[in-house]
Amino acid sequence: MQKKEHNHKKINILDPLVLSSLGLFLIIFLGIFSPLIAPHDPNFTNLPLRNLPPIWMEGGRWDFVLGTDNIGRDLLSRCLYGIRTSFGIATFGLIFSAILGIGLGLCSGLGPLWVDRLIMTITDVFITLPNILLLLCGITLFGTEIWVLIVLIGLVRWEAYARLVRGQVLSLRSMGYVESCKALGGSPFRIALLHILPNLTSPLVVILTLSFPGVLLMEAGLSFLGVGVQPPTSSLGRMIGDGRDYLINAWWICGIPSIVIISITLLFQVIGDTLRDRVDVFSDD
Amino acid sequence: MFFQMTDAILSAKDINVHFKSKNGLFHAVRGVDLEIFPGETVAIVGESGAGKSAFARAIVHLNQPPFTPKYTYVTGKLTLNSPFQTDLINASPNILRKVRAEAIGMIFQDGLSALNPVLSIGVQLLEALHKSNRSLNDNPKDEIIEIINTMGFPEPNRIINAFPHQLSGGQCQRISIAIATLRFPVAIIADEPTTALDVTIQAQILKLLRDLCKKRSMSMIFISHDIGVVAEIADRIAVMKDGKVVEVSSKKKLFTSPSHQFTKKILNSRPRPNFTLNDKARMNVGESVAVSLEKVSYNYHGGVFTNRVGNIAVKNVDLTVFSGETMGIVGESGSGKSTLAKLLLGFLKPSNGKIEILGYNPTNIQAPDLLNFRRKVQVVYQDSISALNPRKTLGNSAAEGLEIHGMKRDLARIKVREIFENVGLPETIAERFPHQVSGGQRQRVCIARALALNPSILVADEPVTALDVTIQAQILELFRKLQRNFNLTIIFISHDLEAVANLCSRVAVMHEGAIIECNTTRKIFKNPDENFTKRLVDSIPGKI
Repeated sequence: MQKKEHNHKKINILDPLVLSSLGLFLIIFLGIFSPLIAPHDPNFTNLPLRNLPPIWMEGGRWDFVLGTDNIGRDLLSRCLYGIRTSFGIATFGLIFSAILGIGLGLCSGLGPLWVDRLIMTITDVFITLPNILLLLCGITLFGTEIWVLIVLIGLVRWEAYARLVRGQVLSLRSMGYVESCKALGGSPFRIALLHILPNLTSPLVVILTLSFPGVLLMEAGLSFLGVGVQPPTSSLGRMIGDGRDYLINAWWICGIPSIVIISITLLFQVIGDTLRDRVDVFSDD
Repeated sequence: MFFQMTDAILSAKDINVHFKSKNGLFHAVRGVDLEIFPGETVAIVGESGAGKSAFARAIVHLNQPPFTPKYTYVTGKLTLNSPFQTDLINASPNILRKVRAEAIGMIFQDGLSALNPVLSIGVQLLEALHKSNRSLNDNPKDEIIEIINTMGFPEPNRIINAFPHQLSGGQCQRISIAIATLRFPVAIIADEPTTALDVTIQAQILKLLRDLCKKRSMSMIFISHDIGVVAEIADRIAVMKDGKVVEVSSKKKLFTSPSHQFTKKILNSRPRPNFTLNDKARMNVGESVAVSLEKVSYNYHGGVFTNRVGNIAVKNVDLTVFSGETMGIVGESGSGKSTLAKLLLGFLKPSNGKIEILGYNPTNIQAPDLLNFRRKVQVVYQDSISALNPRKTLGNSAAEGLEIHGMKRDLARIKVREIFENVGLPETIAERFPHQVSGGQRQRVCIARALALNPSILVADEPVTALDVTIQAQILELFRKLQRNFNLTIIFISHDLEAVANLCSRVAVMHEGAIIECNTTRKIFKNPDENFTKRLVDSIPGKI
């Protein structure tokens, strides 16, 4: 992996990593600039034009390319705004859980024995608690503000990172360079930030990419159940939930947001898998 | 001994081995010609990466999938003449299995991992026995006991029911040898079979292999990086360098009149005892005590449910090291050498006893003193690749100590350049990463990092063990030079007695956690008091 940083090769456009990254950037771009791109107000209801099919079906209209939902809102605009909401919640939730997990994992691996035991016990407790139960309790107590969702998603996801980081730290801390730094008088803080963390980047990048779809689906699941993002704000899960009752005569209301979720998830999986193969030393040769 | 009278049992002509890697093909073996005659032991020596293993493994197609994920291309002419005639390069998988089962046995470096951990030794031997074409007599158990007896085990019945992890490294290697030879192959390939073993065990294994070959007039291809080991066992020696055999001759001729430059170089690089030089160095040692240990013990704690006292790693150690002295600590693996190093550095707290280093007690040292202590006592480790952060440039790694102790970054870099010069490194190396330089250069960077803080004491934990012999000689010379120029006190921990005899003025011998003998190098090597020391010194391979 190190070698690759030093010989600059031409980027191959057909590389799955490049292709899926491009796709992902496109989706992120669409999400961020949705207010500028969206052709309609996502919350504007137009009852006479409800359940309008997408353009490629009979009765589709060019001004509602992906059709409308059961109360006549433009599905394209709602999808774009939905990407913005869902992607945002998932990203910030993931960042929050990563910071929490990495921090606690480092403390656990480098700290004194009692800190390690305490943190690992908390981790074990969190792993045994069903995520959905924890989320529902949190939402009942603190409401369904977006920041509450972010914090809650962070709180139920951190233990995987904490365990990974702790395990890696345990193997890295007996490495010669960590002991040498200690022998030079380096503080635990220095060891953690300069010697351990940089060497954790590759496994962390891989696990974070691979777990992003899970976080996204978690938000979607909550919104689908109606306890996540509240109407009229659009989110991909919410849209699927709304379209549930119309599956027979207007499948596109939940079909289109589902396709968006599936594509985002798939892109992340491809990126994560490819990264893992390229970063992993053991599958190197 | 000349075997040219008879036909070679195995002949290799113009063998080339290519590995496929990301950066194209790697030409590991470049046109090797070698013939193995019945009953002779041919040793292949060379430094790491010389292509020794690649060549030997190509003979039985072990570097081919499914044994390794790497794709390998072997070209040339490779024929087996006995017990049956076959072309090994184009052999079908079935023929190859037959070759491996009946004609050529293999022994690897790590005896423990060569055995299946969930099967008892008896079962594994029985399995190997069934696969062979030997007619079983009525009681296979008797046969196994007989085989185990041949391998020199005192209690065969106990060994049969034992599992690999219950045996020592040497015992596992004996079992691997038993498995490789119980089909009475015409030849065995031994790939660094004693490298992972202690010297005393190594001597036993070498004797076993020698006796087996003689008794069964079996040929052996013995691969080693250690010319001393080779001197003990080989009839003929092939010296490899960069994929080519540069010299093949009988052992006697090779050691008395080597023809190739590289052979001369590796023969001259072997660390030799330097008694006079070491005695002279001892004259300059002052009276002030740098390190003193009084009745120091250390126990590892273990147990899942209890905090019971585990192995006693260091037992009642008394040791005094004077400043400016090079003190060698030798012992076999598990004798507590490295634990002692950790105690000296203050990484472990002794269970009992008192440590005093330059007036500090590393056990309970507090903040401002701790930094001063760290500045004075530095360490160099065995494995230079793990001792350097792969994500930092070598210059940054070496400058780290200076930065920790408050030097500005650009000043530190200037100082590092100066130290690099002292340890014989080019300035340009500072911008490189650890994987981009050779093992010897990496070890020099580690030494530079330790020296940057101007320490008084350098603890070197097996600093030359992982290096090729020519590099070893250079690093030992570097230690000697630094010791002179900086008036360092060096505590040199090693299992390599030759390196210790080369560098140290006094030696402490550790055995099962205790220092059993501590005396001048000359006395330890010429006229030791303890039986164990005598055994250790006698096991040094290939005293020429």
